Amino acid sequence: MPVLSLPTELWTNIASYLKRKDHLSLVHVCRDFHGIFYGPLYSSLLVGPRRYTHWEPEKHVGSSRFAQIGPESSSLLERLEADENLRKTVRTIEIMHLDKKTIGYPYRWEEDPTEPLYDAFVGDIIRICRDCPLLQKFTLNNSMIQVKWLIYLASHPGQQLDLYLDLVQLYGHSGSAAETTDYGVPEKGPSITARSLTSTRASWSSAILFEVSRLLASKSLKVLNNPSISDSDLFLALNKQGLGLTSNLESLTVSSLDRRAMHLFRQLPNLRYICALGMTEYPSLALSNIPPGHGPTSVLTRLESISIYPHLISAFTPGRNITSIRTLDRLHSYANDFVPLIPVNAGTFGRYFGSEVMVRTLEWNYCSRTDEILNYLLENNPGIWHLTIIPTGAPASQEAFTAYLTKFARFPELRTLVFPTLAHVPTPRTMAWEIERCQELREAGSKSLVSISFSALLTWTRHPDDETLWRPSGPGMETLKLKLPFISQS
Amino acid sequence: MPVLLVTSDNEQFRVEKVVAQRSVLIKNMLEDVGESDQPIPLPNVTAPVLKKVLEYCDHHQTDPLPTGDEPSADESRKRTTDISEWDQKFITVDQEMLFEIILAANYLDIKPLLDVGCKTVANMIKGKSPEEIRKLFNIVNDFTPEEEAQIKKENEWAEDR
Repeated sequence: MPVLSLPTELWTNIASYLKRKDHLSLVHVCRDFHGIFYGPLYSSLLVGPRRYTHWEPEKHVGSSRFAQIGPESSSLLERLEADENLRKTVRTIEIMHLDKKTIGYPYRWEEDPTEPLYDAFVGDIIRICRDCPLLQKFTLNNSMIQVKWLIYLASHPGQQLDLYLDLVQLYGHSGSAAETTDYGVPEKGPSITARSLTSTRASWSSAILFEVSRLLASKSLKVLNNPSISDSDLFLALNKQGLGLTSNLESLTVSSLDRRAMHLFRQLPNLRYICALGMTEYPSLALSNIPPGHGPTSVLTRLESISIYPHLISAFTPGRNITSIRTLDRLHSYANDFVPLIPVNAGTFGRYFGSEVMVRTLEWNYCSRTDEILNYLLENNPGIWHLTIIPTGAPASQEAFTAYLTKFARFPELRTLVFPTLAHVPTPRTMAWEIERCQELREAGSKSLVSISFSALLTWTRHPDDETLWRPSGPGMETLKLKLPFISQS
Repeated sequence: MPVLLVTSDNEQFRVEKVVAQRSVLIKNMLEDVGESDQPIPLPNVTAPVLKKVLEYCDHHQTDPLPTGDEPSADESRKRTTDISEWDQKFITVDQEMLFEIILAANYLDIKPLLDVGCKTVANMIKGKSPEEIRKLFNIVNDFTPEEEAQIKKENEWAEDR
């Protein structure tokens, strides 16, 4: 049966499991494959100067508007600009090293102190990206860009654009909205339709908050993962859009929480998830600063899930239906002061960690007090479904481990358990031992368990209809196959 | 109640309804026909392929059915090519049978089986050079040297960096 008897849509399905490198090989195979895999190859683009290859830009500058970004990317950009059909195949674009320093030579950007040349260069590239009608994901790495171009891109008509920025230096000033008219961007700015903005290690200056605020005020923006922006900056940004504005934001990651958080949260009534685990300041917020989830002063009434330091849990749970908590015992402190751990007991939280409903998911990282937490859960939140405790310190002995197991078995509704305390490399003997423990846990009371990890190397899963069959997966399986090839046959 | 399936080469298979219904095509046909012991013709599937497909359906008869809100092909960039152990053993067949199974899974609308088949082909392609892929599928390079040079130049942006 000839390979080409498969219809194109099935090859496209196969292509979806492959990466760019394989798509590239496939278009080189034959004419038919070129036709089939050209689309998958051009659905995900990579743009940026190639490093570590000999390239003499001075020979090319003048030949292309994009010459400084390297011959490969500049010819790609030119083809994209000229070919509407090619633009229609693009779903994701990743741009890296779009930076004055990296792509400077021999363009004398230093003679461009206010950056109009560089900015026009960047603008041309961004415009081509925005003209890809089906663009869904745009990633910018190690780059320097005026924030107005971000806003321009975020007004993509596709409605579903996800923006990711990593190590991006954003610049520009509040007057830049007017300037954008020079480049064909409407003065008031288009309506922003990006679905999410994730930025890590990006620098935000207060001068660009006017532009950022337009992103925040956008009704379409649901997710803002931005550990480098503080809540007070967010608050300022939102306020610049005028009072009475309510954002549709559902998920927010911030680097600090200070006293202005309350005002901020009032303007984000649709928040379901807050993450403040990257927080660098302590103590920035007193528990009493956050009003409860009910009553006349209520805020964050829809909050369901929090990732936050232990001492702030009870600031966010009261009056709310919090069902998911992620936390860790390693506290960052600006002054390197000793930060005492708050005790985990009924005196601190009451029941359900202070939430109105049973907490179903708990993840405790760098945990230095497994017993304390298990005892609290047994007394005050026994209906846990998903429990992850990642302890610090030396691996548990089998005796200590067995003692923990008797506690886990007392959670009747437990479905998944991650408790990577054992450090052994899997062997048939340790695996048999682990399977026995899995079964023991179920027989002793945790009937619903379907997934268990006792070490970082193996996860045991069971089909809900299968009473005794536990299947291993995880990095340990590879080690096992390498060491003991006969196991995979047995 | 068993269902009677008839292949393109006129062989009959009597299978339990719950097994046959892993195929959305057959499930819909049974719903349309209602209670009936009429044989269901499958003109696009041969007996050896159907036997193999039914082996899969039988093993997976209790799996939850796909809900239809799986991520679309565009969101699947990060889709893994992991295949469970049983499925891997099941799909270890010669290339011709593999493609026949994929076509049958597509025709019979058995999405999990189609995924296993496509993942297997993807795993065969992964990491191979164009020449190795030609060898793998017995394909003749029909590009002229000029075309080959042109394609190489055009797609330089996608090469490793």
